[in-house]
Amino acid sequence: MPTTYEILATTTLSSTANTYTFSSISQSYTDIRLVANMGLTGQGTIFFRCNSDTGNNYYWEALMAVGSSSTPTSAIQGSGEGRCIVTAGNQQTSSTNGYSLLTVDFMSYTFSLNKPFFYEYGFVPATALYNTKRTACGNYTSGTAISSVSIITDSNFVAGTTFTLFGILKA
Amino acid sequence: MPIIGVIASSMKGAPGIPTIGTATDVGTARAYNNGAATVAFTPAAGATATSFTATSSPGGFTATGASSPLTVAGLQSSTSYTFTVTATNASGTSAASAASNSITATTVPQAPTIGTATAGNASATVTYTAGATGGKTVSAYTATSSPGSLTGTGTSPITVSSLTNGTAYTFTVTATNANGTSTASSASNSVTPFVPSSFESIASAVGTGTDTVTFSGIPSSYKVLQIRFIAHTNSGSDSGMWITFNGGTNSSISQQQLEGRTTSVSTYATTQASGNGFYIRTFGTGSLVAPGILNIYDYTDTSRFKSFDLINGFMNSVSTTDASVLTKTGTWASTSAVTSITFTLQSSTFRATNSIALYGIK
Repeated sequence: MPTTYEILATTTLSSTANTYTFSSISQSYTDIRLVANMGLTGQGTIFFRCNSDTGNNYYWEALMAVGSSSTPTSAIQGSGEGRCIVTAGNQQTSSTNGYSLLTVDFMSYTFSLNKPFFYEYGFVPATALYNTKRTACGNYTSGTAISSVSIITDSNFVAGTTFTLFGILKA
Repeated sequence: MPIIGVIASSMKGAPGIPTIGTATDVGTARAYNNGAATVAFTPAAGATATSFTATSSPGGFTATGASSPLTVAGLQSSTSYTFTVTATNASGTSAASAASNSITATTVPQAPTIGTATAGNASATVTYTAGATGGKTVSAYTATSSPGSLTGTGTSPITVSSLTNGTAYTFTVTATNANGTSTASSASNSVTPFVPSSFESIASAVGTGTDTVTFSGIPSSYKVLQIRFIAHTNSGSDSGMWITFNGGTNSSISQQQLEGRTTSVSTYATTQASGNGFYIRTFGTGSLVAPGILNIYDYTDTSRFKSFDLINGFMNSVSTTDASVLTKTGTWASTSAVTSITFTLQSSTFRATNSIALYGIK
């Protein structure tokens, strides 16, 4: 059987940055998967954009649990956001408390319409103030195939943060 | 008593003003911002000059020598200059000649600024920011690995191939124009190319126009099966897709689900369900896409029941009226190896844009 699930690119930040972009993504795969292990310099929101697109083309349903005592919540989000939010303000703090893990599966990312995605996000800091778990199903509705993905924070990613992109090709 | 003697005419007085000739850019192999130009001139008749000095404008860069031409160095890249020449002997220095023709000094390019190196499979991409051209069009940017001195050329990002997986590399980038090659950028971050994972594609199907897709004869050589699908129905209210193993009704499937839908959170559990198999949601009112990723673990192990997990949902593409995301874990209470998987849509057929792909993970 043909081997797939190939690492298309991986990097470890050598200095702080608020954005990392996978650009010129090969269009030769069926799905792509992004994996990020992220530390922040301080409390911040994390989100992603496709093709630097700030239009109203992101829709997602996020199932969320924050902290050990809260009940899970869920909500549809997207209209007017111009991005897909992975975690909000107080749900990831300084990397001194730990790193978060994010996986995003972009399904059929070269389709001309309806590029659904899943993301899984978790942050469990050493000081358990804002333990966060999010699971989302979404759709990037732009008519343009995904050729770049940017992971962005309004804080800064610390040096040592890693981003990896995989390509998966069906038979 | 008067002193009477003869002074050779060549020794009489300061030299005359040289006649300016042609100034010519000499860019080959000149370092960035250290360009050069040759300046030709004709000495004036009369008093002999012992030296001549060419001076640039702007900048005041000079060169001194005994004869034409003189080479003035230190010129800034991509900058226009004219030159004048003076003649000097023991009696003094002449006035400056007329200004020469104007030349634009050219050199090799400025060194690029290194960006980020990113590892791939036996390869790496290297980004850079171009520097100044040195006055001539840059014909190539080259990334060079260390160790190995393997190279790639192109525009940012440059791909360097034929690297050894598992070896750490840094990269520098140079720019080349007709005058030569720049100094190298600083070194990039270190990256280590990877061996691809053992994740293999087994089979796939797209919009068949039927309501059933079966993958049979599944190889037993994997540890985990993964199914990645986009499968949405085209009519009715909530509906879904059933998954069954080995052609049976699979009444021994149990499952626990956690779902978020619009603003609600719900759970759903079945034990030894009705026999339809394993349910996957593929339609909600107004939805246009229903993706999912299903993993089936130890599917060939005949000593244990089969475990699987799923992330699934549906998403409207144009509004936020209805959407779902769910996670589910299940067990098929059978010790039989999974050799076939059947997907059956509930009261619908697979659309052309549907896709179901089966992968194996070793």
